[in-house]
Amino acid sequence: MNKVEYSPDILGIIPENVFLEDCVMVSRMNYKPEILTVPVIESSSGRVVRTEKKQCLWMEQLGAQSLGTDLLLSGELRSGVNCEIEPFNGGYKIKFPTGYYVVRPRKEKEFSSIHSYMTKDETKVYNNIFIQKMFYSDFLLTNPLSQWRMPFSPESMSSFAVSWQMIDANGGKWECVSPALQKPAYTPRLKHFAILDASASSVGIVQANAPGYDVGSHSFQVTPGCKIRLVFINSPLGAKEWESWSELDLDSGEIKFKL
Amino acid sequence: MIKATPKGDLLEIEVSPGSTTYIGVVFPCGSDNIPFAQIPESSVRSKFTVTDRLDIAADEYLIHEENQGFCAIATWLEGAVRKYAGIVFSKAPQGSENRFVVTEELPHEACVLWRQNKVGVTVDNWRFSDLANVNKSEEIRRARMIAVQKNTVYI
Repeated sequence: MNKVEYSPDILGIIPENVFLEDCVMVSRMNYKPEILTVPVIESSSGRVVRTEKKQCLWMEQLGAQSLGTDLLLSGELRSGVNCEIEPFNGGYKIKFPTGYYVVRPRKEKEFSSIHSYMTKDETKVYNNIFIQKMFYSDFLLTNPLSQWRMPFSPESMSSFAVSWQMIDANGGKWECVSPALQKPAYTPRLKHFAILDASASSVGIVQANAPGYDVGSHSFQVTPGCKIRLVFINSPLGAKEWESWSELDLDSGEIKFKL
Repeated sequence: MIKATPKGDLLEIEVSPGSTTYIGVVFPCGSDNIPFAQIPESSVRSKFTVTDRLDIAADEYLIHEENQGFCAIATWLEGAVRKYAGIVFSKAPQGSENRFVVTEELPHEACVLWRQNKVGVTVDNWRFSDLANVNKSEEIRRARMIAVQKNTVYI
């Protein structure tokens, strides 16, 4: 078995940003320019003389998690472009032109990172997933998942960061503290995210020419030239709720993370 | 019922079992004078802690830069009637023993009372109880209204 040791280098994380792997996101704020109709008031009389269309700026808080952007954040953080990181109240503010994220150090037993990384040996592809910087099977053997706080990011597979309080479709927040306190519909999430369990539908390789996944060696055979996608699927209550993927191009050996 | 006790860097909040608590700012406008629409932090716990210090363990974190007024509004059902109770708190002055100080207690009547911030000819009407929701539309409406007020033109 070709078991890879975790290092930030293989994931392309620049050294200055490695500390963010131990952070979780608290919130995200986006600038929102909008054309609004504003009154024009005559100062002397206090009367409205007309209205004007004016571009105004306000911000919108998008909570700790916004689907579809986590990986983009991660991609930019990996390469260290397009963002500035500054300390903020014991955490950090990650500033982008369109807004900012606030992250904080993770608490004990709180998920902060899960990464996928694949290697290949001719036509054999090895599937390496790191949870909290450990090879996933090692992590799961030594850490019962149910003990961890899993405000789990749907896009967390190759993301740094960062967070994981879910905002459900109604805009309400779901924070995973203990199953007893969760909204009922989300409780199965804890059970379904079981990487170690080969029969679990939550994580698996679903797109490959010859999947044939070997649970023992965490590897599978493929034909030369094909593209492999490792897809993470979370399926609480049997319905696919989210998926995320990374891709390995066997021709170039290039690993692409979904952005 | 809602009860808040400052304790060091934390504010400990206790509410009646079955309540949901929403925490937000009273006047949603940042240090750069930009209004913002926020998702009220919500907690279903009957006892939890709040702080703005991101490096200590707490249940809810405030991310606002200002020393603006914060509020926590608990809501529950009494029969078929929705009830509210809240507190307003802010950061304590430097040198204080605790990081937060509770400045006002809001019984149900105060939570549902309409309040007005009038600027020029525009009026921002709002209630504390409107913060107690999982829908951001009220917060967006208010941010937009404050943006209009801040951009009112005087000639």
